[in-house]
Amino acid sequence: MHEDLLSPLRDAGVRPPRVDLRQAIRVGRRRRRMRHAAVAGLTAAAVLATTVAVSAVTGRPQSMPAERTPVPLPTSTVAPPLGECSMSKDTAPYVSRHPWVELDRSWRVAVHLDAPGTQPVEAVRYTDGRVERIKGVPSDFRLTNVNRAGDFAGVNGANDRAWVYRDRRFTRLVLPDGATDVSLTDINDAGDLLGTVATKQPSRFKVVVWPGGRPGRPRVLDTPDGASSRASGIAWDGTVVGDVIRGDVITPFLWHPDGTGEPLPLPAGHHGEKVAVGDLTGDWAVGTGVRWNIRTGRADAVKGIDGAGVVDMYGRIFGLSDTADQHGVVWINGILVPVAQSFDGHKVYFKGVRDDGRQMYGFSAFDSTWVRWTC
Amino acid sequence: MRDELERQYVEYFQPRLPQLHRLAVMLCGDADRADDIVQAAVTTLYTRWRHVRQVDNLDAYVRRSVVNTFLTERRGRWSRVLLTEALPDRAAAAGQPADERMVIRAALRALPPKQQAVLVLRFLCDLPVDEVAELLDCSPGTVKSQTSDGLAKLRKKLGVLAPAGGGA
Repeated sequence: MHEDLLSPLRDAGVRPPRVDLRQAIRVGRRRRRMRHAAVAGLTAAAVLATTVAVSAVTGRPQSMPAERTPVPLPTSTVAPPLGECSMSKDTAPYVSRHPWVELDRSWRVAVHLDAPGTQPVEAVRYTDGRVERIKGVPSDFRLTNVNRAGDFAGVNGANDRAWVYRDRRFTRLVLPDGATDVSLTDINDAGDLLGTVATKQPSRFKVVVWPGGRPGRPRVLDTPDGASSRASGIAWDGTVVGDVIRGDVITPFLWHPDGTGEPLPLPAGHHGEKVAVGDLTGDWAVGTGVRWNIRTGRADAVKGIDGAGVVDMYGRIFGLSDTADQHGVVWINGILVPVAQSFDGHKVYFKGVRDDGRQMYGFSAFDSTWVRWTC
Repeated sequence: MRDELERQYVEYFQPRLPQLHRLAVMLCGDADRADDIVQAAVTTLYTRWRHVRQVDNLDAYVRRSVVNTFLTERRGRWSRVLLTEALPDRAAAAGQPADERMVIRAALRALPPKQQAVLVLRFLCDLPVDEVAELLDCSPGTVKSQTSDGLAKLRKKLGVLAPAGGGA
């Protein structure tokens, strides 16, 4: 009887781990070195490091220079054909840093923290192959989002502080009054940051936007009375998608750039009281069993994909099939197309896609190395 | 000498990563978070490997480290607040209604971390009471009472949350 209660969780499909023992050894070595250095009384070095960090990191919110010019992605359901996709072992310089690397949606920019868990940490940013090492990373910084301009954001502390790196410095975001915790979800190419904050009195979650260049002016988006809201993605012009949660009911929701909002429609015949928005790229958003065009409001039923999947700028949805073998598939306006399943004779687990759909990546079940599809 | 220790470390952990990851997935309900939990645990264990490798029951010690990492993470304020209300949009297993797993996982997450760990370890990992007690560093009696309280809360919560018709 007890087992019956939890038994549905028993068959959760568990993919292979992506734990990197080499990374554990690298970080572990540094931790040990740091510990030994502290014991040896190298206080002077620590003071120096702190001074450097303080000079680069300001605890107070600051205004930022010029705003970035947002560039919309093309919007069309007429996507260039994927054609033949070839697979290869991913040799990008940051791949060995998984799972801490964050990519922007175009995969032009990648950022990872060097030696997470040690201090002082540096961020390493790759822009079209150019490598920069960035000092002054806030202590215990947890990287969450990167945009095409190379801005990146993250949180630290007990998730009660959020930071953005832009214009060569870290700036702390001001939280709305009453907010106790913050979770950052997305950053668009204009630098607008999207997140969800928690408040205790009353106990709610609210979607918040920090407009690019104004980290001191959080804008709490309208949420229906008595409900909570949760952020999923922010488009180039500031349009936001997410969910409104009231009791057990989750409603997909869209907020316009002026802050007003409305529920997203469900396709005819879609019965779901818990439809959350999972991903947004360009003008397309997806949730489990549904795709929306956020400009036209059109909702299409999606079948054959497990969960929400990931959408590209043409509205194609990439994900795992809802069949028992969970193979990689692409949903193109109602048609499911399988993607290659194995590399060097070993099963590959599909994981993500670039915003133009031309490249995908996954992991080899054999040794967890990254594999890239190029179409 | 260091090379030898590291060789032993890799030889010990490499074949056990799937089990540890599965344990973490059962505890937290998310494969990506589970990666982070196991990564953090094995990193910490590396720094103490010289001593850790000599403990009597190494497998149990390592499992305890994963459980403790999960509990430490769950004590963070954000996860505690977030999971009481928001039901994540998670993928369902083939042929299984998505809502059922979401509802059960959300109800489980709403329990105190240690109570959640007790239920997961007993009923999803099939560990006996004594072993759960050892993993959580408490008495078998505490495990039994936590099991009883946790199941009662879970039933109550699921009774409230269960969709109409009970089949979803």
